[in-house]
Amino acid sequence: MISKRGSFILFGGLFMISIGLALEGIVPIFDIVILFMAQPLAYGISDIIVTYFLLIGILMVIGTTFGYPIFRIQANTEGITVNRVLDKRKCFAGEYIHVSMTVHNKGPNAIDHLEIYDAYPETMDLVLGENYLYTRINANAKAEFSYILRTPVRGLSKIGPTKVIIHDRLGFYEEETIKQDFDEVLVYPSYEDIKKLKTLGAKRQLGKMFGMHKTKLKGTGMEFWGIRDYFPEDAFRYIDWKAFSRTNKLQIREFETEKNIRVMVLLDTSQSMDQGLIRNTKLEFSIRAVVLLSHMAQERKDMIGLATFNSKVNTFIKPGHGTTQFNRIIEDLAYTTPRGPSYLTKAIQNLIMRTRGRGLLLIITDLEGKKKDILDGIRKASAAGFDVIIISPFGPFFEIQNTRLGPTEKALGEAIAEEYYDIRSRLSRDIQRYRAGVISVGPDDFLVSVINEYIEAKRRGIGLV
Amino acid sequence: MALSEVIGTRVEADKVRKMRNLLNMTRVFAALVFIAAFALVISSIDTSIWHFQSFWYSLKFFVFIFEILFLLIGYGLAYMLGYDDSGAVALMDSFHSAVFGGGETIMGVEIEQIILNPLEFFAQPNLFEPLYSFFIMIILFIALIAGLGFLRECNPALSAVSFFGMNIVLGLASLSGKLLLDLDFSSGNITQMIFSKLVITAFLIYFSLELSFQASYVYNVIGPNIHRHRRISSNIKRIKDFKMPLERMKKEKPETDEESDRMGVRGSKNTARARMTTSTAFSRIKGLVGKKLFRISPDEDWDKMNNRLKSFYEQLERDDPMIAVSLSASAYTPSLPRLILIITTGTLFRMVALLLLSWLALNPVPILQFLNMPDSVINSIEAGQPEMIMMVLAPLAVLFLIIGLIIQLIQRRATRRMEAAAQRPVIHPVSAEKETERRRPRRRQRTPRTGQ
Repeated sequence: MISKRGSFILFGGLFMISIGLALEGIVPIFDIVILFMAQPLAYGISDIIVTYFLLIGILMVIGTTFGYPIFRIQANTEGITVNRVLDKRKCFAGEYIHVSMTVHNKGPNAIDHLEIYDAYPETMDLVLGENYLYTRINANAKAEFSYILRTPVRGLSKIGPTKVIIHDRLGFYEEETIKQDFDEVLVYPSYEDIKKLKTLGAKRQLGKMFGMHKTKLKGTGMEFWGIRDYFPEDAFRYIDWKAFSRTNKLQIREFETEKNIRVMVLLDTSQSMDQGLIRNTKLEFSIRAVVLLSHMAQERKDMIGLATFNSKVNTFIKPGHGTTQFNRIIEDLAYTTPRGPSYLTKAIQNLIMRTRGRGLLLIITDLEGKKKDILDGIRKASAAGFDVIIISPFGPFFEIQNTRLGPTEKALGEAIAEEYYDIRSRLSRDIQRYRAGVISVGPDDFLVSVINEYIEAKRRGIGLV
Repeated sequence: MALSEVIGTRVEADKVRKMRNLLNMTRVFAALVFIAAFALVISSIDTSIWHFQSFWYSLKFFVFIFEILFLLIGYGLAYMLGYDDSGAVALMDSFHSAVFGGGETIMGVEIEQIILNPLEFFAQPNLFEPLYSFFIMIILFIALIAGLGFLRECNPALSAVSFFGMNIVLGLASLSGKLLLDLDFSSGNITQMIFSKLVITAFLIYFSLELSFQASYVYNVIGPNIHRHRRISSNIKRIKDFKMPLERMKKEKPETDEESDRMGVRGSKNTARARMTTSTAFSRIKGLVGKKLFRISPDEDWDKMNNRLKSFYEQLERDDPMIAVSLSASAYTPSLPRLILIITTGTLFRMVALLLLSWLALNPVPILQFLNMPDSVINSIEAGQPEMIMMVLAPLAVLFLIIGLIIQLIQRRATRRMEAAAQRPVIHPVSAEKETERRRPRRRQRTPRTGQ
């Protein structure tokens, strides 16, 4: 319809015409005044200016209206098709996507001024190019533009819709339409932590803590373990005769076999897990931890499974190993969105029914559900034979940002956190009664805690396959 | 640099140069029309208005108004302090001489008279003439500045200010009979009307407004493309030249609590109590190691992002050597000769059409004849009156809008099915299998067998 500029000129024209008519109306008043004063006035209204204002008003009014039928013929937004092509639809967080747009004017007329805006999700960053285009486009012609987006946040996002605006050359009219065309992009959790771990593993800087730890059973096997002194109950076949000839002492050669463990991760995806700083919520940290853990398990041929839950179990992947299993896990993690309340008991019941083998059950939850529900859930898991460890992101650690708070808010925040600590510690004590461990974590020690629990479980041989 | 890249860059540069030329050409044309309109306005006003003495006189007048206000307040204060009339006036007189200097009069009126009867100052016979000239000159000056501002920034709001300024000047000038335009055409004769100075002035002023909109269109269509090309080319160059630093020049400082808070990462000391209260104790060292291992440093992150972007861009460039053209959207820029042709023909067509339609609106007789009105109406004096003009203009303007709406209605009916399809959101899923899997109900409902 008529744009702001068009309306301004149209009403300006009407205003000019009004001035002309008003001046014309004032003329007789001047005549009466002259008649009474019996002398000519210094100031007066002439017919010239009346005609002038009428003429300029007519020009403005007709100027804004007579082009409208022509514009309507040209501005058929249905004739404009926009085609979006993505170089990939799945990527890891932190990677880039190239979006190319092709605008095709299928209509019989050229469009003088075309504006195209392609919307992209707030979770993505535009790093190169622009997501809009201003151009003139001929009939049956195409225009192309492209841009590059960065995907810092995992999840399923939609690129689109596309807004098409058509103007005339003078900007008097405009027609706008929104093409409801979306492209889904699945962003997997970041691979950055795994890369870092690999780099550090290669450098062997943290050998004891994060190196490859195997669960080994002494006795039979092919891999050499060590030599120890002979004890009377040892079998003769393990005596190292070469060592005996050299040292004249009976010694036993020990061998080992590698065993794998079974780990099941139960991830809370309730709404409360969405708390925290943008892009660093409790859920995002939990997902980073699960990715890292899955990768480590995959490397060591351990069995790992994943279940996500809120009021019910949303996704379930039974424990398995290999690259496919890892891919399955990260795909499910990519689709995860925080919503709904958390019912741990229901989730654990479901888990018990679905899994045969027991092992380490790593529950990642902020424990912000009902206390009774949490305790019931843990009790059932322990009774079913799981070794339960709860990794619990502690809310205040993820939320407070001291620089943004005043002294009063800071003090209030600390007080709330203290109160929260007490509640948490009481709950922890209750949970420990069911032989389950609780680890409250913040952003700093989240990943380390999860890895450490895994390594510890492996060392102790929990849930051996 | 690859040959295709060199050629692409040259082609782009050539296009950008042509676009810039067109933009400048439109500006020059708009400037010429604006100057012509402005000159016509100046020439349409009696030269007696253009007295710079009246300009200074008016400035002095405004300064003296403040002085008079000051003197009146001073007089009031002196009166309150116990001075009588003559004493207070004498005090103000001496004050005026000491502070403002000059004689015992302000613009020919004595100080005593001004203080005792201030309205006398404004009742001078020759006061309004210079003020009148002053306002005309000031408004014309504003119109000139706005016009020049438009030529610099291509902002249509400035050209609108200039347009209304020139019209106000003509209106003001006509009040005292200083407008040198004549009503030298009869509404029935179109040739007379076209060559009338009044019509030419009105047309040129309106034409300068329309031309400024045309220039603004060129600026909006071409300007962003030029800026975009420049900006994105420099970004691409920066990405290409980026080199990942092998090691940080500065050694990383030990992170303070404040820094860790700024980064949104809580210090380890805050988690100590949590560790102590939990069943499995963690050593502080492990916490620190973990923090160092998985922390994302802003600098490091920035370098990595750039490096990744560089390799991503290089990959895109290998697949499509003209990717820079696509990113800067310079592949499809409007053709220069075509654009000139369209603007010229479009403007000429509009001018002719406007002239004819305004003549038709000003001269309603042919329309009245067409409508088979009785001769008494057609030949009446009222037929040439502004009221009759309005009676013709209003339906004429509405007619165009109605025609436009009818066209829209026909288009909508023709494309109703297409629109219905277009309004439904189309979602291209990540992969068809996954999407089906997600949307499929968990358990299929069993239908009871009928037993037949």
